[in-house]
Amino acid sequence: MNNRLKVLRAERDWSQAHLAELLGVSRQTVNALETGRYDPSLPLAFKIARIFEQPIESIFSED
Amino acid sequence: MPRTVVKILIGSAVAVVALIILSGAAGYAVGYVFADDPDAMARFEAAVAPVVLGLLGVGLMSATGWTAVLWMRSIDEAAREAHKSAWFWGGSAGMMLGGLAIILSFLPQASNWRLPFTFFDRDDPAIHAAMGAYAMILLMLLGYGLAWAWWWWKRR
Repeated sequence: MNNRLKVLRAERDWSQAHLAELLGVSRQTVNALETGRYDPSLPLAFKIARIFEQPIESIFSED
Repeated sequence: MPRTVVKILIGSAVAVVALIILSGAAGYAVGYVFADDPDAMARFEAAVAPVVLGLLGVGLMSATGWTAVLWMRSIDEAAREAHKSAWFWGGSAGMMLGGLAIILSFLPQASNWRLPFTFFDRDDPAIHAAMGAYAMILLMLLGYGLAWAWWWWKRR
């Protein structure tokens, strides 16, 4: 699954650590999400969507 | 490091130190009381040791389980996923190696095999069984550790 997490985070000038804190996960998890090597659960995907104020489908897309 | 994890680490360290101090104090007290009568000490040991060791084992395993629950609740979903994956793939691979050792133990030649060392100066069936279980756990933990590291390395 592809995602725009890195772009969205960069637009807000947030560090991975800051986003991790907002999401309640570790920085390593944010890194794994951004590189597309870990797909989040639905609750975490919704949380990401809420934080970036965008619908899930505009953040995540199928390969 | 999350605050819960720090709490767990500090709690575990305190528990281990307390256990060491209590064990030392208990050993000293028993030695002091029975210093003049070694036979009475042997009888006391035979009667009390199974109860003490049993309670210690139950306490230790309960504390381990409780710590594991707190740990799993404190980490995020990716870290949990890493542990689940490591448990299945690494633990299973370790178990397969142990299984191979079990199958090889059916060979007639294996009956001549002895432990290359003694454990608490014992060489009896109970200690052999314990060493077998210990070896299986070690293999599973080795597989677990490797699989866990592999999971995170792939997602670095």
